Amino acid sequence: MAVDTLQTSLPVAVSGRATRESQLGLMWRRFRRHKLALISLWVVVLFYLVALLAEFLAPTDPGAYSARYTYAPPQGIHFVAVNEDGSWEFGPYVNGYKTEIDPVALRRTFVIDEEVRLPVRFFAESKPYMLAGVIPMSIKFMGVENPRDPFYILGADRLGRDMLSRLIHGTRISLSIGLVGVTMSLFFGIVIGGFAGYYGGWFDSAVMRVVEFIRSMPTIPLWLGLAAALPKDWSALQTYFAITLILSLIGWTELARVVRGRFLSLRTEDFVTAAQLDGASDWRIVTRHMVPSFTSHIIAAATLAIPGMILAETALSFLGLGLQAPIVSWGTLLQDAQNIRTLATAPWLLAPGVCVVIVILALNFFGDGLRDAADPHGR
Amino acid sequence: MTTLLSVENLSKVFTLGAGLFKPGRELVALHDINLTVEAGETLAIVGESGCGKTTLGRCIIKAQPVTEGHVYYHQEGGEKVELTSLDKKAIKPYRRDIRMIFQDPMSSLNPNMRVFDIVAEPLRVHKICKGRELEDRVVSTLAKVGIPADAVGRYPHAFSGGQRQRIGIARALVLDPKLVIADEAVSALDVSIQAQVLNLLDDLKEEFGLTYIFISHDLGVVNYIADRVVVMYLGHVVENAPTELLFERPRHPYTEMLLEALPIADPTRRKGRKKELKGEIPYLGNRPQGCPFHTRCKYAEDRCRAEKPALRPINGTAQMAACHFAETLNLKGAYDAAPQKVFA
Repeated sequence: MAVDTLQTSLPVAVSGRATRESQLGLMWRRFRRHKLALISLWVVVLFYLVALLAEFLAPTDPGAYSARYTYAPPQGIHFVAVNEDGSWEFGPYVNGYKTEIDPVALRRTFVIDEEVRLPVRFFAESKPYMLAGVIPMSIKFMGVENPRDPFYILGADRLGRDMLSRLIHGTRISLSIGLVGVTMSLFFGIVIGGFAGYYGGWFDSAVMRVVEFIRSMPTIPLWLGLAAALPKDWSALQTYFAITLILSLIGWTELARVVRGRFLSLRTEDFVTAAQLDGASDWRIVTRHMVPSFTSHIIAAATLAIPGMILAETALSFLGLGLQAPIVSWGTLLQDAQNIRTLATAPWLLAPGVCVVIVILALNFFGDGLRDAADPHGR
Repeated sequence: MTTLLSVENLSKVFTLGAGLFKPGRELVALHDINLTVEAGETLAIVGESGCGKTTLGRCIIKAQPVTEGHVYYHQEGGEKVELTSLDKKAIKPYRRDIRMIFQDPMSSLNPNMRVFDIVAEPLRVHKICKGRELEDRVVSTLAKVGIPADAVGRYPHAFSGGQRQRIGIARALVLDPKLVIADEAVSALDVSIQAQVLNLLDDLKEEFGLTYIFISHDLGVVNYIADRVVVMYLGHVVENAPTELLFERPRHPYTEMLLEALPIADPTRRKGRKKELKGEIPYLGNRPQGCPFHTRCKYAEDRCRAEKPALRPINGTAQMAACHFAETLNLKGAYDAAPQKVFA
């Protein structure tokens, strides 16, 4: 009898879109309300697109040098030209350079020559190259019509290399170190923290003491020591991975703590007990019942860990102990901006620093937004 | 009646605060528990918070390891299986027969799983059926507890407390169990919803031929649903009797105390009743000598402080109590103050 009445008395109004939305769907809706985080998301996406399309976007090879244009100032790009007779001409162009001798220091400097206009072509033909090492292409995003003309939108460095191209290629290395490093940390963090949190007991205590020990060490000297121990004759790729590994050696501890905490609190939840009483295996309980309820937290924690990685790589490379010269990263680029004299004559060498600031801020805002969105009780 | 489950000399000791270099203190949560559950009955376990009733339930279903003693599950062929010594793999088939309903419907359902998957999970774990058959079974079980088929795709947060508890019941029943342990299954619900869920449990019991172990602190609910009541105090069973007998003539002073604490809706009958419940339940780690109840018992004598009474049948009836003076004390039942059923 009771069963029948229950069935009819059940409210039928609980339908509609909102009730059917998944956790991730709800998270995205909360995230969208966070305007700053949303903007940051697009900034981050933009930077990663640049990293992905580095060869296509960079006008020249990052290593291509030209002794004629050392420390050439940024040309800037113009879209409208005003002729002497007052008529307008449309079409992108850059100005050429002329050299002037500084009468006091007798130093040769470049000045923008407004007379010379070098037309810029978008999607211009170029020498064939491989995009991201896999896709053969022969079109660049932009370039001057005559490849022999100077094209330094963001200026040139000590060896007359194009700053923009180097910056774009540096973006790829710096951002990917953040991603790869966090992925490695995440792997160690989830496995170690997960075991500690799920089984608890002496293993948990041991792991947590190790984590505390690692975190109590000052990071920069530790990184310096480890980085200095890398063999000099390793290839660029080997160094790259070694540095990432060194960075994630510290990075996993924070993520392990987060994961362990979540496991500990979930372990005593009734729905986990229910799954155990169903007879589900440990693996099934962890993967089907526990991990899905904190993936959002993990994503947020991982996002907030990326800036740390990028900063650490930049710092190490800046000090000359991270990535080495042929590899272009924001850190190695900033090495050129180490002394005040270069900064005074060529302030555009600080461009990588600006990129670092923008990306770190964007990633932090984005991560904050994610974290708030992941935690419905957080506000 | 045949016995379905028997608990023999069950003890559970928790070790608290054990560190790397120091031994922990011991806390006896269950002390030498003996009881049997007959097939088809509803056995209620009652007691104040901290008396060990939930721990007992969890030990029986092996959500927690026991320290000592045995839990025997009597299979249909008369075969006895000792559950506490089985490892995870070996106990899996019996997990189909013994199921649990949880107290808090908010935390017992995984918020990230759809209702359908929550109820289907035990079927999948035990590889009982899949595809069309699985769907039918889940939907029909949910229909039996009053959750319509078009709601199975929703997540738990879209349901009310009562509905969630019914989903939890469906999860317990989908495996066609023999014994269901309901741990405070209705305490988190509104009174009106409580009645609904209790009625549902009663109906399902008949339909599926279930046996319940109903853990509760609410004597009103227990009076309504239980055939037999086990009263626990400080990890001991102090009384074990058929519901009618227990409510009419309790044999243990603690039971009397609990019955006196029952609220009476009628103020004229409430008059003249003294509040007898006094004192706090002692800390489990600091168990009194002798009878565990003597610190709060108004009938306590020197013998109670020295000698621990054993649980024994009183005057050869089905009523068992652990009190030295069970036969001679004239204790008040629930109906002395309120001469009618307390609940319903």
